[in-house]
Amino acid sequence: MAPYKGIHLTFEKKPAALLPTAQLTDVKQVVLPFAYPTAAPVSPSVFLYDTLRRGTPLSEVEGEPFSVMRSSVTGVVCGEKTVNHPLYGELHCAVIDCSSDTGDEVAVPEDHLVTTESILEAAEKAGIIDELDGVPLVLKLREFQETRIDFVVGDAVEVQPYASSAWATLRSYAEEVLDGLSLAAACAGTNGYHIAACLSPSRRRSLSLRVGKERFFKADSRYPVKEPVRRGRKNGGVMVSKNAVVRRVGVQACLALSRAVRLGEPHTTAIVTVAGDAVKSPQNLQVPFGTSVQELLTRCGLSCDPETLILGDIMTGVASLTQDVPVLPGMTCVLAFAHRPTKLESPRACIGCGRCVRSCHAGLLPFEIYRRFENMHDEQLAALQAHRCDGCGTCSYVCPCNLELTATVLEAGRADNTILLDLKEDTDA
Amino acid sequence: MLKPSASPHLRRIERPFYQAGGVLLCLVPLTAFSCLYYGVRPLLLVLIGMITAMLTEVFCAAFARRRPTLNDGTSAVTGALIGCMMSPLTPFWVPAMGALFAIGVVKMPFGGTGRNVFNPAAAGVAFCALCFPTRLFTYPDPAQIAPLPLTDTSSVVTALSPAAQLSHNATASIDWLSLITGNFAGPIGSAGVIVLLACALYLWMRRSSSLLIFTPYLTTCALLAWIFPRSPSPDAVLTELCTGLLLFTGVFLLCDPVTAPRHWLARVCYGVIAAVLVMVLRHFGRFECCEFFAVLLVNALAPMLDRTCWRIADTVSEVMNR
Repeated sequence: MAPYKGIHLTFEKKPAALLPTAQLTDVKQVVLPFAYPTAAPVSPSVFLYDTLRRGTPLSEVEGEPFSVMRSSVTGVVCGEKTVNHPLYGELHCAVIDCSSDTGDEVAVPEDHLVTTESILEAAEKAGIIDELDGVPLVLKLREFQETRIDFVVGDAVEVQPYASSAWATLRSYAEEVLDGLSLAAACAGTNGYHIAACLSPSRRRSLSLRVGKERFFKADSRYPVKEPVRRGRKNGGVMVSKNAVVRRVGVQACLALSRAVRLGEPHTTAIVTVAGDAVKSPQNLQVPFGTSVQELLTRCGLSCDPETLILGDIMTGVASLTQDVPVLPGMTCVLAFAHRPTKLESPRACIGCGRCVRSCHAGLLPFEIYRRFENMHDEQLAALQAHRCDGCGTCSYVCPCNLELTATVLEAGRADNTILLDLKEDTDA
Repeated sequence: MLKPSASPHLRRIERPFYQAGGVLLCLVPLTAFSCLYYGVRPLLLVLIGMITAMLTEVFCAAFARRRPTLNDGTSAVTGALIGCMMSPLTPFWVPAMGALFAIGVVKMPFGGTGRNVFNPAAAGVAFCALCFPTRLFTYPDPAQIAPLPLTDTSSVVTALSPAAQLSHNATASIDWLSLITGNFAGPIGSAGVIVLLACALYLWMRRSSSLLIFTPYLTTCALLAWIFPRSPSPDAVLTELCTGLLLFTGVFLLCDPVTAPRHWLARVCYGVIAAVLVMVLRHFGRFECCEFFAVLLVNALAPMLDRTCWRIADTVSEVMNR
């Protein structure tokens, strides 16, 4: 109901977005978790000094085969360690030495009719994770099957300032991405599959020539992206009605799906944007999962010792206190800054400008949640539905009083009534 | 050495003085316009209000053992607004008293900038109106093209303001051109309708004020003035809108971000309720300028309006998305 305004962020994608994607093939060692974070019991299936091929499952996860991590390189397991990952928490990892890499031996599937079942099987076997939300692609495709879907959209709408990995993926592999998207759409039982991106007119023309004009949706450049399509109007000549059911898939996941189905390849690489003012040559790198962020930074060069290292883009990324962090599915951007990107003064009391309310795409009242949370008004807090916040960060970005609105609203969403419950439990005890 | 940092790592930086600076800038031409008619006296009244407000904040902050936040300019704005709502004939100590009350009673005891429930400037003028009504509502005649004396004002020719004429149900004998150019007896800030509208536009472009409050407020006032005219004159609506502090209140007091609601629907309701209160007080109130009382009343409703309107808008949105 509220008019959605969003915010316009200045793009700092150059020069990374202009350079071709570089392959990082000479990786010496990768650190991979045995499984993605899961509550199910995990039993490792590889042990010290085992030789692994690319795509070998590292573990068995009871009831969740899609949570199994696969080796991203051919090499030898040379150890195990626990990594405290800023994005995924504590992970039990295998250290794989890939100095003895002798090339891949991938079994190319025989040319047969592609069915929905074979697509699902290939997605599960390849261990594809959607980089948009970190959800296994097979789960998404199963959900597509069960729901009536009108459009499956390959989301390359990168409106955050630095990330350009989706653009890089499209530039290098647009045809394969479209193929993967068509496979995902086949699972959904729809012919409406399109790539949505926010590109300059020249790039848009060039992409339209490769994938077909009718397969390209021009997306809005406002952050946060509420939806990659514009409802109630024509998108690239295709009418998207207000009630249309639209689902998003990451372009890297589409690429992986195409390769899994057509070539039988496991999902073992990620395209990551390395940028920031401390990086000498910002660019997009295609790296095997498990590669250390330090290696990425070394490859791109550092102009100084960075003070801030961000995993993810500048609005929603998480600051890391170490460079010794492996690249895992879902990571598409690494930023290194000589100093904090914005020097903040101490917060002042809310002056009530209302910008947080206007910019919130979830339709919340961030200032009110902040006030209620700070004053511990828990009963009123529950009615404000803080749990709907997705942490896009626009409220903190626009706040002229430097209040940590996003962090507080997220915390309030997590706490939702628990303070009262805790007190009750204490009283009972 | 890597350091921790919370997302979002990028922020839009805005100086603390930005918001208040815009308002102060708007008050400069407004005061200058009044100085054209009355000499330097209006400027001194505004300056005295500002200085008293700032000194009061320093004193209160020292009393509470806190650092004064003069750099955000809100105290200066409060003082200047109080000065602008005075008559050019008001003794110099009256805006000082208003500023003292506004900062010392309405703003600082609640925790200072951003924490006050009521608009300090409106409260300050309301205090002066209740305590010294004759000094506040006696206006010089702008037709006497001579600067007002700084000390002895007993010899100054006074005139009945159009707002006072309307409150006595008399036909305001003033042409529309004089109304637009501010050539009529009234408070310092009411002079110059064109300047006030330009200020509203400027503040909206700076995002310091919201048209979602100002437009419904003005529209409702016009509508009520048209339905319930206080004068048989054909210019009754224009006279109603341009006289007194009606426009000034809409531009500066109602759009004060601290005390106004934040939600778009709440802002619209806030503007409408304020307009209704203003017109009711104009019809049945004791004073010719009663807009600041309406502001204080509607300020109390702002938090409730925010919550209620958000809930309504959210429910409607959910129903529409189903």
